[in-house]
Amino acid sequence: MKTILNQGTMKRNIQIDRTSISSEEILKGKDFDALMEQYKGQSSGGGNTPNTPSKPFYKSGWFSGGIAIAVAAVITVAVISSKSTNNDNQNNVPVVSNTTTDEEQIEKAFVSPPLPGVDVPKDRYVVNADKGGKVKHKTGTEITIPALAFKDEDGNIVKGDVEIEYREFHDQADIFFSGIPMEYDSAGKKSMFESAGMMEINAYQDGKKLSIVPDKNFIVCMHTNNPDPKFNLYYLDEEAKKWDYEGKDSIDLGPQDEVAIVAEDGYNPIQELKDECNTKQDLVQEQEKVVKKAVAEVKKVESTKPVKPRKAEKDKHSFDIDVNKEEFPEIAVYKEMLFEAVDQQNFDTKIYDVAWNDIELQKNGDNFNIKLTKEEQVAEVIVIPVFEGKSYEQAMNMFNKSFNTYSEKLANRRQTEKTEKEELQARKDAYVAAKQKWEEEAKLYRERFASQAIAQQKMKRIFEIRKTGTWNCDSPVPRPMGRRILANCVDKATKKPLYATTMSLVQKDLNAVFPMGTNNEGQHQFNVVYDRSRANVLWGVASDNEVMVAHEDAFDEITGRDSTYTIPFIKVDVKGKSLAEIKKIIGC
Amino acid sequence: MRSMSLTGQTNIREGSVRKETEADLVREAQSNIKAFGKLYDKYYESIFRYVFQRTATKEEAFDITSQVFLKAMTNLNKYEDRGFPFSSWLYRIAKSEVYQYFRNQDKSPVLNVETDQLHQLSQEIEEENTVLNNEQLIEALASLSDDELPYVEMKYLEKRSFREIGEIMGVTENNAKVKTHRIIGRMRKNMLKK
Repeated sequence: MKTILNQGTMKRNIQIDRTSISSEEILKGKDFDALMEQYKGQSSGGGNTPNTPSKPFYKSGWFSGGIAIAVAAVITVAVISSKSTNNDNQNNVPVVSNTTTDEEQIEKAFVSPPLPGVDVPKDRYVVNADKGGKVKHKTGTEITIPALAFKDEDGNIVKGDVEIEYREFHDQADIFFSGIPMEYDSAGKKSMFESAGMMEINAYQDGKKLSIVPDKNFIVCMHTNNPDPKFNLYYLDEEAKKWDYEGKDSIDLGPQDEVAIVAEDGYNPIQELKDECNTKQDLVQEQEKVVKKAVAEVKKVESTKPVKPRKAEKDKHSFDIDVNKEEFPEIAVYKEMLFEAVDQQNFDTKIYDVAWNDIELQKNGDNFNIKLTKEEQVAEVIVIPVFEGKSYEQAMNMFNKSFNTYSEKLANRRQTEKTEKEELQARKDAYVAAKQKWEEEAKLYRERFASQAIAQQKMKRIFEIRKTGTWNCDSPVPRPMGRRILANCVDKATKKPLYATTMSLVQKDLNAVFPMGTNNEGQHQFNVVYDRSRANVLWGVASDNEVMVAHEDAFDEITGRDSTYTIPFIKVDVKGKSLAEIKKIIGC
Repeated sequence: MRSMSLTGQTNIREGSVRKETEADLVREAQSNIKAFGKLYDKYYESIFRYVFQRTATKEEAFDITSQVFLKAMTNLNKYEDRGFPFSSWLYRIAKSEVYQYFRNQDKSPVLNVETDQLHQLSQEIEEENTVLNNEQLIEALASLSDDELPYVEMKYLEKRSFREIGEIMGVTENNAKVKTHRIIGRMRKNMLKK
């Protein structure tokens, strides 16, 4: 069971997947005699109230609030000198490599870069722990560190110089080559992360790892390429091997004049188109509900179609169920009806002689299943409703009348359904057109302002961290859905099978990486599931430690309905190349 | 136990039934409180489950359930049959007792949810091209007011009918339906805005 209490803006105690309680356990708490005693005690003036006196509201659990991401804190700190190596050297040696513990070995197995020697490089900075300071990273990220914010593994406050090891992850190649798992399990609902920026920070003194003192949170203003507010903040718990939800960050779009460049003369045409598209989508959803209701109305009316009365036949076994309307409301409606046994030959007239305790009527087409019960004795009869004499004439009159009403009502409802469905289609068409316009304009807009990326360099995601490690601004996305194939990997040049240690799918317009599983036949066949409407690319690491890439056009060959396809990969020799160089080669 | 007799023969019928109704049980208990035991036996588990759904521990739920029945016994003479099942009167007492308990105990209201229920709720709220994670859903549920939460809780977590919800909340079936849809609509809007 997971309990979440007073998190963010919540004021409620939430329990997820609590152990259920059995009926037997509930019945153990049942004690009417004790209740009677309480009742008597209360009646004689010894009142019982299990409720306890109130406490002031400010002492209540929810008032104290949860973690609030304070983003506007003004902290005056000395800007420290950066000892950043500022290089893109993939052979960065961790500061504490000679003191690696068993625990860290496990962590490394969890975060495991797929290609030896290639990883997102770490930069190093020095900060004076006594005074605190501000780390300024090359991407524009700033991390404000309060004074006396570090402690060693024994809990002692650390003084003097501390080495900060820092790196950021902004694109799919950063994610892929870092080996950081991006699967998110939200109480059983699995998805992958789309990232708007991720960072890893660690601190060391004399090669020993440090942690952050409680309440001495660092304020991180991290560079981002994506200012969308949909992203949440997550922390990678490497010990538990999972991501933990940590609330939301806030977004700083940078100086207003630069925003104006992006927004073009103070207004953003793309946003307007997006808003219009969303409005049209709202209209579609509203109408979908109306149609759903209209369809349900038709079904409801259809279910009331009157059944043509049948005349009771002489010499056939039948009976009446004459019951008190209040006691058996479910069968009161059949009061004037006779029930004629369908199977006349095997009908047992002894059922007339029993005082039955209960009866169940279940409609079965034009017939009814009748189940009669008295203690252990059960009789089941299939019957058909019939009428006799005047009752039949009355029933026929009623039927004719009600059938006309029914037909009229059904015609009206069907007409309404038709009209509402037409309206829905019109709204859907309008939405598709608006979406298409928005996407086309947004594409043009992005291309037009690509050269002004400097404006984006100023965009920041702001959050507080209370632990060293990996923090990620993410939004869960489902795995790709659509076409599923078994990809037979071959070298495009030699046509020979390519064996891979890992394989992932990336979509060009989504900052996420989707690992693909292999089948049991061998590491040259992978189960690939992809969305045909997106620009898909496959990245893998070959068993000889070369990078293998299948570009968008490799998917063009998948035209039929076969389950297995040969996918040609280009092999990239990455020896001696930095991650930045590899990114250029693979087109990231 | 309902009892009835069924009589008939070829084309001849006659018959009568008589059973003890819930109204009989209530009337009997109103004249002799010891007879309340039958109603207690009948509704104990369902009232306990209703309370347990809204409390943190089973011990709390047992206490509150006892209090619900004690209150029902105390006020039984004021009970009037207005065409709703007797259980809806008990649920209304339970609802009131749970909230009273939280107010008095200086405790936060509790919401118990199953992962499956969250999935179902997300399907209700999600729209095309959106994926809501459980944190977003929980945050949205937690932000509902005490007046709003019971509608969502009863409809989507406990799968009660609008008729039953209306009876417990003291509103009409239609009103319960409208309120629930409005609350879901607001949740959707707020969540998608984020």
